[in-house]
Amino acid sequence: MNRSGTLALLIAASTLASPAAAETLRMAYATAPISVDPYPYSDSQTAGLGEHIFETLVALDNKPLLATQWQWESPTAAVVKLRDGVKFSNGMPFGARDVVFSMCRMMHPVNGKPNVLTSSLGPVRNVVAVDDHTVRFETTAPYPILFQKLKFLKILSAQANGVTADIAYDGQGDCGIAASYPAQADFDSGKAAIGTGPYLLQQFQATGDATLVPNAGYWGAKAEWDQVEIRSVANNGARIAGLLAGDYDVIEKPGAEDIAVIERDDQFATSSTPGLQTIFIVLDISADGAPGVTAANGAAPLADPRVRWALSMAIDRDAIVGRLFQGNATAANQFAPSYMDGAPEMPPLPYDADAAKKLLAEAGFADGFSMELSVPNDRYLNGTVVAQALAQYWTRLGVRVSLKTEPWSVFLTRRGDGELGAFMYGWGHPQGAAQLISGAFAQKDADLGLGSANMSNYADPDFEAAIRAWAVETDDAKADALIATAMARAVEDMPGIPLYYNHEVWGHRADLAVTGNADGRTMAGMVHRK
Amino acid sequence: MTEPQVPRFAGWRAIFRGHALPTAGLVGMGLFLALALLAPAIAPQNPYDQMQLNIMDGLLPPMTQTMDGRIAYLGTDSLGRDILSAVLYGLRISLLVAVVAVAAGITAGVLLGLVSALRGGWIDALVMRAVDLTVSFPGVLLAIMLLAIFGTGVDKVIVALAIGIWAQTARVVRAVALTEMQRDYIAAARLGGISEWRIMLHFLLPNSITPVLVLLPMAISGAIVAEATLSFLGVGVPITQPSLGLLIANGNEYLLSGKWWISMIPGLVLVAMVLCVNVVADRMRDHANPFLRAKD
Amino acid sequence: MASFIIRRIGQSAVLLFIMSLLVFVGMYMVSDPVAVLAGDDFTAADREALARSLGLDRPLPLQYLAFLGNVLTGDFGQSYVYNRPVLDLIFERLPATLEMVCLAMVLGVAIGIPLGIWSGLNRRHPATRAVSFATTVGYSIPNFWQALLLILVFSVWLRWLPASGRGDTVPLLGAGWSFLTIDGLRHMLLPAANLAVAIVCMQTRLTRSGTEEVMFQDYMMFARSKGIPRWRLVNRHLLRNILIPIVTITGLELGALIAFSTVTETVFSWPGIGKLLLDSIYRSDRPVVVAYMILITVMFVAINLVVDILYALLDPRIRYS
Repeated sequence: MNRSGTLALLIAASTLASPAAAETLRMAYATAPISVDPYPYSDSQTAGLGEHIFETLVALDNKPLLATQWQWESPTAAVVKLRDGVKFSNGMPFGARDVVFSMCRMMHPVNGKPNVLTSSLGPVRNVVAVDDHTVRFETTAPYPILFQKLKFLKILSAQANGVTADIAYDGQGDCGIAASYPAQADFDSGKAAIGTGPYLLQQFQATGDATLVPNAGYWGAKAEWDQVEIRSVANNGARIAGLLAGDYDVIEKPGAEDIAVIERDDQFATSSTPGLQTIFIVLDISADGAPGVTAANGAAPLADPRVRWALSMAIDRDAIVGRLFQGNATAANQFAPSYMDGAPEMPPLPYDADAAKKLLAEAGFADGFSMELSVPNDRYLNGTVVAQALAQYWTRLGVRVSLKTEPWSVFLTRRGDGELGAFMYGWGHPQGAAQLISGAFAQKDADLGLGSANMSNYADPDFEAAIRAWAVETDDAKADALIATAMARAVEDMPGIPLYYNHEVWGHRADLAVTGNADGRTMAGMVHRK
Repeated sequence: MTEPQVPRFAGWRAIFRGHALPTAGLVGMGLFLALALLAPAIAPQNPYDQMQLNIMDGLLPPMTQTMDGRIAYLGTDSLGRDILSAVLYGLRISLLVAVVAVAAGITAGVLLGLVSALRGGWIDALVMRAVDLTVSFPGVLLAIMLLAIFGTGVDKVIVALAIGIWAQTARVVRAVALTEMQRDYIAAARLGGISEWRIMLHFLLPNSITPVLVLLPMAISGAIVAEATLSFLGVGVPITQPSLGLLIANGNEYLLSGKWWISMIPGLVLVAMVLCVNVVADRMRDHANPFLRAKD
Repeated sequence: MASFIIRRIGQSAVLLFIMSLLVFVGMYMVSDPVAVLAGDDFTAADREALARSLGLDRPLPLQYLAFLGNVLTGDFGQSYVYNRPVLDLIFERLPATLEMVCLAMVLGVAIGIPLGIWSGLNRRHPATRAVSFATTVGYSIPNFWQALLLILVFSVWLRWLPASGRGDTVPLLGAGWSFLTIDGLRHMLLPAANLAVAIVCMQTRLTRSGTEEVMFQDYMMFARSKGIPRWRLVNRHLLRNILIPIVTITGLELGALIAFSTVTETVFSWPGIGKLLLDSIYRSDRPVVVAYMILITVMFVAINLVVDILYALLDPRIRYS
């Protein structure tokens, strides 16, 4: 046998060997995915499961995915070039019509129920398939954050759902093709679970368990796992136990204390990445007072920026991050992670208990005041512990804090009814700074998509001007500058108190390498064999 | 007319003499009660006073020194709460909740059970269906309703637990009272023109209350455990006034990492206290059982 | 008797009506589904659309009447969260709860009854005191803490048993069952044990006191004095006499466990109806909670009715007029 023959045999042997190394990846989520339908749900686990199967035009980190190029042709028209040679898992080619179809389906309320992007894609007036691989988005007014929103539009196949003619987009999502939309049950049964993603749905159970297999025709890097099993374990201890006992290869969101437990065992390791989520306290700064906040002299303490700064300066953020999170969080100096692209440079927020006391006295509250602090008890990692630490700091400042911890649903309802004067909230978005302050602190403006969650009643002319200019600025550099202005203003006025940025952590087998995304979704694609 | 022969409560000595374990349980109950009452005087720290807590003192193992030079004999939790103090105060909250809830629940249950038995008819049907309704109503649903409508608080937890207790009591009391009413003396009393109200208070109540008294310790231990469970589910007592149950639930996160003292100590205290109550309860029930008493 | 049953069913219908009203209004007071389901970026118009789609834009009395009308046609509505019929959600999770509760019950009865009989027959034996003490300890540990400790010991330290999930299932009668596979049974063991501890304690005590009572009855004393062997006494007379109350209480307990094994299912991530109830309460999924409560009230009413009828049949002194 000659040398090339031997080589050929070796190659043959190595390609034959890979199926022998067939391996199943078992991942445990912290809550159960609700459905495979990619449109009605925004929770991290449902979205994570969906992203194995479906892809978006733009990736989380602004890298091209199904789109290769996108730019504003005019302030109200954006052109998106689509990737060539991409096929859906049923073998049909991906093209412009699929994007229009997906936009229609997103805007179509199933049984009248809005979808994840129904509100944020409202300004889109028309979506046109220019040619097979070019799509034009036309908006009613300048809408620069369109591409940020498109990070959440998972692409379905028009043809697989029986649409073979051109689609005329309308804002209501009817588009003349409403009859062809797959139902939620079709996604869950796998019938409509046809996407361009690296994995195929093999099985989805009503309890949220899912099994995935590789999509053989995937356009990108081949799936590394022959099978992926997704389970969900809500109880923290049980999830860690499952990892240590070998039931799972990767688990998400171990508690801060459990990271050391996993690290202690040579067979296991943890990986983390700074996350998108900012935890902050929202203050109702209305001049006529806030619910649950009372001072002896009848004044509205939170309306005075000095009081808000005093509250902020009384908090030792480094101690919270170090002692309560064992370093798995970053002290905040603004309302969105300082390490994200486009985040303005800001100085750290000072901790100075004495200066805080002085400031409070200056504002006329030397004797302190009473304040209710509301905190959901089943939502944020360590949320209630941090809240108690805040109660310590503020009590030492002279503020009598009464802590209300309640289930998320009760908390949200009271927040919606305007009953909360001071409350803890967490918000994460790939767009970072702009998304948060435009939603949480801008005045309500449905057309510009501003102030949808403004609970602080903050209204500052300079801040408003910057935010409103940003909302229509399609030049990225100029938009970043406007956000820097707005952020600096918001931190100066402090209608809320930034606390820290959560890190995303995964526990896994030591022979695996995990490179997670900042959005904290647990994906098979981020797990590699070492 | 002569007073009917009523089996009176036998007296502590008759019940406990010669029974070492129940006696120990009784002593233990007294001890826990004393600790709970004296908590503010003997606890090294007031764990409800945020001024006295500091996260820099957090997660200290037992017998280490805090920043202000005290010794944390049983360690601290993540917020710097001295576990010894937290357990003493937690004992207080747990006992307070259980005792008040049981007192309220049993009072309501006895009255409604008696009225139900005595009046019969639609009142009886009403009370008994209300009992059915209550026992099939999950405590956590009731607790979250009270929490959402009236806010967090020890009093809401007490109400939630009392509502669970009255129904069971009413059922037992009604059953006993119905048997009692078959007796001749009640018929005689009625013929004698004694008012229904008087019959209830003077004859039915004393005769029907024995089984309730026997079940009382059991109800208290049940209420302590139920409160702990509600706190575990996030709808219990306020987080700044932790009961033993809430201390266990909060400390659980630290169990895996070897910081056992945060949940094990309150857990063992809770189990010890419930155990004392249950041992006493068992003895009282055994004693009330005539078949066993005859052979003792 | 027939008129008693008819009247009782009439009362139960009223009871169900009141229960549904209470839960309906209660959940309305607890949380607003629109606040929970809407995204932070939802506009006011989309919030209104969401409320309309869920029928929550109407006044509460109208919402309730619409619900009642639908229930009378057998439609319990759709889950706000899952967008699926609530009865489908409940019934597809029922097998998981049923098999776990049944395993717990089998464990409880298999250990509790022999232990109880033995203790009852050997009152003075030191082991009896130990058993009695152990059952009291078992009673005294809160269920949730027991569950956490079980995970710590058997999953983390010893690594013998999985701490969560259902494991492999086998389809049977249109549902997946874990008890037919070794893996499924391994997953079921810890949650079932968590429930079984309380059942063992209860069965042991119940059987022990029943045994003691029967053994001191005159006819048993007489039989013993006549030298009838003890095993025969136990087999022929004891079991027959103590089984009736045990079966009754076991039946009642079974109902309660099926309805409310919420804590165990939650800690062990066991996908049964108890976890569904708790999740739905916390997620403001009112249709699921209301339907669930109606179904379990029906179950309890039925159990109570059967028990009352059985009592009347077994004890001729009881007359229902």
